[in-house]
Amino acid sequence: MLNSIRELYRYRALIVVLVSRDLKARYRGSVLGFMWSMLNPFLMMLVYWLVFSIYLRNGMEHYHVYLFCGLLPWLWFSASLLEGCGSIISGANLVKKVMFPAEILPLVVVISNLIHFCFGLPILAGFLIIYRIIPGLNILVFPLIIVIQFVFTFGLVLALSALSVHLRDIQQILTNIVTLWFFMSPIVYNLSDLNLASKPAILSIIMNLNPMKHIMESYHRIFLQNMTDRGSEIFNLPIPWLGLGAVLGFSVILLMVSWRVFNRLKTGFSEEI
Amino acid sequence: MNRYVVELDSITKAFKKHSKRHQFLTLKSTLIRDLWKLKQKNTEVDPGLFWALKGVDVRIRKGETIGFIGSNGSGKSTVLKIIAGILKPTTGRVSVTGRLSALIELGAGFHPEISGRENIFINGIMLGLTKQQIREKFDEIVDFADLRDFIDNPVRTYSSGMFMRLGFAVAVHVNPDILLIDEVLAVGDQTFVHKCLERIFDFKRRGKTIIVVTHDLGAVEKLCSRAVWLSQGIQKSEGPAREIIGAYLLSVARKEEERYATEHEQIQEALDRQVQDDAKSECDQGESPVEIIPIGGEQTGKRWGNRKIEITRFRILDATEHERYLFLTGEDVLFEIQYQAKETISAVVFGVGFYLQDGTWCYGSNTDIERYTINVEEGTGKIRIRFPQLNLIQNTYLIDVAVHGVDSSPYDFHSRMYRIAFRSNQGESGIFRPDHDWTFHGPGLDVKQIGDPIRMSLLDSNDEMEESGETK
Repeated sequence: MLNSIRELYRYRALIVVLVSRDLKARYRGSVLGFMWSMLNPFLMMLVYWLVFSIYLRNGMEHYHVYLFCGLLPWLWFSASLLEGCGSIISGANLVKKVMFPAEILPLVVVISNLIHFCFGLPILAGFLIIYRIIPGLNILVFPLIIVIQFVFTFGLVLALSALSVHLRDIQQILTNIVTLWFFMSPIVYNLSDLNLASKPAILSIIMNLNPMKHIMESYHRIFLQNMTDRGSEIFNLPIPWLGLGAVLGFSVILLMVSWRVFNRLKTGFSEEI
Repeated sequence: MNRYVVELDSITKAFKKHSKRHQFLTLKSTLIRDLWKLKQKNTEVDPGLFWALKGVDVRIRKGETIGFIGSNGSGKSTVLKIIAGILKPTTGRVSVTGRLSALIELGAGFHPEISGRENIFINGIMLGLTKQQIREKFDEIVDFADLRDFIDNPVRTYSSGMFMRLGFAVAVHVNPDILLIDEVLAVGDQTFVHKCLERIFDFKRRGKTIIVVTHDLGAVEKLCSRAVWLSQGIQKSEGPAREIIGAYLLSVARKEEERYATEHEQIQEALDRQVQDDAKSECDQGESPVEIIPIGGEQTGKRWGNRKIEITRFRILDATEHERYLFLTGEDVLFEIQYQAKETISAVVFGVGFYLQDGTWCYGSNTDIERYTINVEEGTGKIRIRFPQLNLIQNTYLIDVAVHGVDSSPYDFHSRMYRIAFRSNQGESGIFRPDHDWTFHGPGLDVKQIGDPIRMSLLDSNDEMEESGETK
């Protein structure tokens, strides 16, 4: 894997240029352009806020801020998965005609979605300012959580992109899996509201095996550490180091395995697509 | 200079034939590579595999220009992709030394939504340039592609020609040690093609290695010192370009020759059958209906006449009196008309004519025009007309053969019934090649001719050319 990383480093100029191509091309022709990077998560937040806060009467005080705080990183994750999965197939004209390490294609997808994520951060900051939620010391963990989510996402996308070249059905099923995954992670609801302790143990085990649960929880504790909900600071909790550490370890192993799978499959790319 | 920059060592390449089941199996077997290796011994007989290359050995020195030729599906492009590293050979060894630029698909990686300017940067970096280098060459690239007015428009608004020009412009400014060219000389208008060729010759002068795959044998001949001829994945021969092109053209001609021969035979059989039918029904002396004779494909020939004299056979012969249907421009061609007269007739005229397939009359003459008076007695005989140097140029011509009276009473007309094809080694256009010479007078005139046209002979070539074709 180290060799592969070194190889990718040699191609950094290409990665930069492909990411910027991705970013430029995405909103080219639309009136609002880059604004969409911010508007999209905001509008999505409005949708969930409408459903869960107005209709379902979720009682959390700054529920939309909570939602936005989770949706933003989730969009990075889900968009990377959905786009990245088909990245080798849709990059066929490159893979077949130009010699370069094919793993650049899924990597570019993850990176450009990370950049969209970063574009959304000012909105989050705006919310925090408006509601005077001052981040606490947990904010220092923010860079680390990005790294962890990055490794996890890239590991997953790498394997999926290679496998879906041979088994295109993956692309079809993935949309549903991502939706399921979304509701299995604490984004629209707060975990403590679920009362998992009073439910069969298996549910709480499944929840804890979900890497995105730990990642999402961390985001909440990083940004909303000082948010009050009816007087109590529900997110003023320490970072879940144990879970996060496990996710990091798992992600690194996942990435190594994915890279192996990818390298095995990549000789066949130019013939299969 | 003696170092090889590209070495192909007994390269084979198998492609999987696609089937759903197979696709799943490939995934499985690729993931479990070690198991697959055990089974690999059997791959040669695996019916699910298509062998695009069956053993190619080529060594290319620095500064050499080499062309791969062969008909469609011979594996030329596969070889190029293997050299480029885009495909991995199934067995065999490839080694490439030096920076390589492949003009395989121009504009691969162009994104339609972003401007030509940005695409130049992206494409350039993809091909291994740095941003700085592209910035330096940017104007040169834009001028080469002749797209200055459009460079800030999104590439999706470009015509396909503009797209190709931009792709080529970027690719040739990469300044590689080894340049791979696959069939890209067919893009753009004549001016642009000339610009491309100039650029490629420039590479050649600077001692870069160039590897070309093309159907344009003229380009191979002009550009390459050496050629490799592939046929269905087998390396048929390798050697000096002109020799190999000659051998290749010959083999193509042979195949065509065979096709024409079969067709001619079929026409002859159809005519023979008619003769027998007529004999049975004691041909009526009155009105002679026009008969339609299929002569292959959609085409038909016409036959009419009262058959007092019948053309029983028409043969096209070469200088060695062998029946042939495919000739080179300027070859010695002989027509032989065999006839059968049912009674003694005086003042008979034999004639021939050439037509293009669109009906253009290229040439026609008969014995009467040329002041022969012919009286025919009952029985059989043959008339021959010889063209010591038939200068028709590359095309397929239809032939009229007729026997009639001086008073125009039709005995037997065979109209557009036979075919003769010409191939020429020059790319001239028109119908006819008059003998000619060029002379040049003028101050500062710089005239060069790159070699002579390829000498190719279809004459009793059976053994001789085959030999030189097989030797390496």
